[in-house]
Amino acid sequence: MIEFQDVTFSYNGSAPALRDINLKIEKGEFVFVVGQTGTGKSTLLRMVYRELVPDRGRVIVAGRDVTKLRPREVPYLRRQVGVVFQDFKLLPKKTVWENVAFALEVIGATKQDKFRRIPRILSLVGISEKSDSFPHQLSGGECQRVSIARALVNDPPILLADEPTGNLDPQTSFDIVQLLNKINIRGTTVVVATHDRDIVDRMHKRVVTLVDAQIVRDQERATYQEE
Amino acid sequence: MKPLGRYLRETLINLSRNALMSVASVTIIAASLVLLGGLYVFVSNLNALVAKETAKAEVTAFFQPGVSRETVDKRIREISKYPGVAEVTFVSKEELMRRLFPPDNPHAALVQKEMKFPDGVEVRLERPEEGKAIAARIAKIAEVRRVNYGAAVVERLLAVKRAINLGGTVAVLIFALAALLTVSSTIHLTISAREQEIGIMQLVGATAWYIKGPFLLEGMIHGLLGSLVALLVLATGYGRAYAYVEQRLPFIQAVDPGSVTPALLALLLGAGVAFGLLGSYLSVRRLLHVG
Repeated sequence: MIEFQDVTFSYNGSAPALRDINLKIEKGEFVFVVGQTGTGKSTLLRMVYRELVPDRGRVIVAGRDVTKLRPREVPYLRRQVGVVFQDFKLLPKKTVWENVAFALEVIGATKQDKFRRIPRILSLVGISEKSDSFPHQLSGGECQRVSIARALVNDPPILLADEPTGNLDPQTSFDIVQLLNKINIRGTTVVVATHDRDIVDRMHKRVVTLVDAQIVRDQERATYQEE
Repeated sequence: MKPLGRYLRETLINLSRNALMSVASVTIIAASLVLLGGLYVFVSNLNALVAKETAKAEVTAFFQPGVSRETVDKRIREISKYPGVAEVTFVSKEELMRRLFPPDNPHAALVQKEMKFPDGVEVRLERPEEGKAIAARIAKIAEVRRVNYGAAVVERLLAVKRAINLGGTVAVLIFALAALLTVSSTIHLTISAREQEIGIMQLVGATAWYIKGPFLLEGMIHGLLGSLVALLVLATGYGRAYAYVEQRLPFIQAVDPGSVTPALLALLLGAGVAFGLLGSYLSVRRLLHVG
């Protein structure tokens, strides 16, 4: 589903943010990418939805080398990849419903489509009763649920989460990761970049560890630290 | 929602969020277009005047006394073949006399007795700008005693037209540049105000045109409004100027407002929309890194 082949990248000629990355994530997997701040976790995710293009190597997503996509093909890649961020990136003047609907409007969904998909996704993330609320009326955990709903409403086969629990308390963090797990069980490939040791340890999923821009460990059913 | 409906809705939101800058943008476009349209109207009038004077412009030549009619006819045939000559008409000494001193003139009889008029020709021109050269060529004919070129007015008008074309074009270009920069800055502000929204659009897979469309439409609307304001100013202004000239300066035949308006409308609308579109395109291209 996602494959990095000998990927190296640096920001404006500085020291590499990623070096010789080789990583293969199969369809339906749940993977944690862990490491300290600045080790290249976010950079790795940004290459999957082609926010960044490697200096060297290839990034294959759903069978296509995304480094070779023409600019006008990028939006269609992004419809295959939902992305969730630490700061939620919700539009403050739109309600929960409108924030989620926004992702559908952008791809030209009909009104019927919206009324069919949005209640279903709000129910999946457990926030149906807040559909008329604005982001400032929600807790951090609820905001993240809305953000996940927006990323998934278009039914992408891949969900990337970049520090999704960075702004949340431990219990809410665990709830969010449980939600991501539930989404994974439904068939979505989920990749979570985090340095939250607690949630990684509690989930026992595949863990890829980055240190100094390189993968130093890739282990199934692992904890944050090598046992 | 249909794309055009969404574009319009988004554009109206952008316009309302940035009302003051939008007004500035429309104003500067309107000012540029008033200048452009004013130049067009002025040059149209000048062209009409030049055409009128051109129709009157002719070279007159007088032959030496005693030149035979046969020689005169031969020279007339030669002159008729000069490039730029439309028609050559023989004017006999008697005709010339009649024109200068009609029979009812009290001095006609005396002049006829005392003065000797030469035979001559009137050369009507196809192009007034060649009149001087044609006059010089005729002057070289041995039998020709004197040549008059009566189109100095046309030459002066043409020189004025050239100067106004040049000066006007420079002024229009400067204003057009100012209009482009203002539209571009306005759209820049709109884009900055919606940066977060645009970022999310890009993230969830909006196409480039989905994102760019409302901003380009916004620029187009600025241009359209600017051209309508300019049209209103020019139509009113020229209508009043025409009425004044017609009443007070009847010897100047200004171009009728009705005949100039359709071309002016097309010119202003076209230029306004082009200014708006180009200005917004510059910002969109600079700020939105979308395909």
